Amino acid sequence: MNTLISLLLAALLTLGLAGPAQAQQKSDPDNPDANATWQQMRTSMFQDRAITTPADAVLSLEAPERAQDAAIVPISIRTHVEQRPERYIERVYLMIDNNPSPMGAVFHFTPKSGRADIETRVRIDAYTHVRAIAEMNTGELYMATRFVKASGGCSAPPGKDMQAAMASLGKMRFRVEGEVEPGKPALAQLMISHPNNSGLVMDQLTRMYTPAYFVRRIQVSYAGEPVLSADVDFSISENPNFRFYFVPTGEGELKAEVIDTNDLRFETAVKVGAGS
Amino acid sequence: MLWLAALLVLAMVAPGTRAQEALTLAEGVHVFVGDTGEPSPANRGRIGNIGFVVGDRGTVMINAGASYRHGRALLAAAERIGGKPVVLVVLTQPVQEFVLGAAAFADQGIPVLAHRASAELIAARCENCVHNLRALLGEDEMAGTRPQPPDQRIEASTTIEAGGRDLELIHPGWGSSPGDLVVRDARSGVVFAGTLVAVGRVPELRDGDPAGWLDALARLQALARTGSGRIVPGYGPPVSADALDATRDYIADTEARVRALFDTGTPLSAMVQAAHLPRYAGWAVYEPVHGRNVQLRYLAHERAALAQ
Repeated sequence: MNTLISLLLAALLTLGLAGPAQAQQKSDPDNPDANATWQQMRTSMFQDRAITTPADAVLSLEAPERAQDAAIVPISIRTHVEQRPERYIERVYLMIDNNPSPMGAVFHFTPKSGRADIETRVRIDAYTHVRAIAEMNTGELYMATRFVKASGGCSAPPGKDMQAAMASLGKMRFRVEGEVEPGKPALAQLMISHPNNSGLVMDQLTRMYTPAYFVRRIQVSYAGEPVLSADVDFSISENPNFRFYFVPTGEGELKAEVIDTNDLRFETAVKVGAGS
Repeated sequence: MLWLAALLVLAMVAPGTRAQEALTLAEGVHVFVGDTGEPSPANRGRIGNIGFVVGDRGTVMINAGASYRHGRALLAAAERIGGKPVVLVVLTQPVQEFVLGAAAFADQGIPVLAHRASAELIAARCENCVHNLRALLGEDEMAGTRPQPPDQRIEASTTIEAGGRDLELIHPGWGSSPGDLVVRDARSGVVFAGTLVAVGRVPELRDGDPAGWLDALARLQALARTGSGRIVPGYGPPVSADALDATRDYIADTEARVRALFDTGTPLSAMVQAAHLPRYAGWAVYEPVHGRNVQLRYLAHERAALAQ
């Protein structure tokens, strides 16, 4: 967590006041390696370790070429490696080069995850490369990139007032998709009601910036064993949503614990058994 | 001969190369039929229809255009065509192509009227629209453009007399936006529907309430059938009441498809493709507006599920 925060701060400082227009010019759709922010992040996080890319046999990244809504861009990371105790994907980094805080999330997986796939939604500030980097427990790194065109639309829809959002703050729902078979990776969805304010949006009426307030940590366990944890940042959209896998056994409880930047802690759990 | 015809067509469609021409629907009832695409440098952001009604003493504008310059041009054209000074601007919805020209009228001392909810949305977000349009259309095209707070705000349906003509201002509830106003000219029965109706174009659901919108369309159809039958949509050519079925079907079909896909666990990332509706694929702005609508409605269902 500390590393993440210091990285975020470093990135914010180096980006300084670079606006979206500048950021746009910084990214060449055909040359993902050229971006200065990426080069800096790469050095600070992975030093001179090799990163294999493309790496279609390990992971792929799906994102719309042009975002429907820059505030909510669905990102789907699919992995093609079985999570075996001897060799599995331990972390997946989600990076958005031209966002004010480029490291959007670091997801942690275990062999109990079954698969290290993850789907979520992010805010995208400008035309940018999005990166998913898988780190194996054995240390190898693999990267998939996509170029996404997103820019601020006219506005947010009406009726999304903060009071209504705060009334359901921290409410969560689990949804387990499809038939559950013991020993076979099952797909689950965690929905969290949270404004996830970035702190970068000005209210045109009050001329004040809505203070940053977002979910920063997620931990999901099944039958007491961790299957997914994540350090996340304000690049994650309002009402954070995560689709991921876990391996059900006979019967067990799927449990989520979420902590936000005010250190509020929210929990939810659902019983999962064969045939449920 | 062919090239001459081609040149003529070019001259007719090239925006800004000639004075505004208006369609006349009834005595004193006119409409500038605008582009149905997305705002672009080619159409200068001037999309959607702007109406005006000319009475014995003055003219009422129905919507104000997409920029200060557009507002100035509309004001001049309406006064030239109708021969009466513009005495009032009515804003039917707070969308940029209807409201950003309002300052050009206000600067001439012409009052601007809108529903209270529209006035609130203009204040909350139009600065952002101006900023984005400057980037898209250029500083020159947007010179002087600023959000204009409406100085007359209404809360419910009312009848007004302006310029010597009676106009019904109908607020059918939250349909395509929380502050929808439908304008009906009492003398001719012509109805100006604003964004509630898009002809041959995918309606933007962003500000809408689908159930309220369907109710409003039914009410509009009933209203049109008691009068001249003519409806001026927000986008596309004037139509009769039956043509509103297509807008209704689009909203109902999109809503049903998104609901079904949400209920069966389709992820957001797969929605745009899964909710493709071939029947409407030939409409203007299907790409990208349908995709936006799908995502928006999906997220609305999700919020409702979370709030339970």
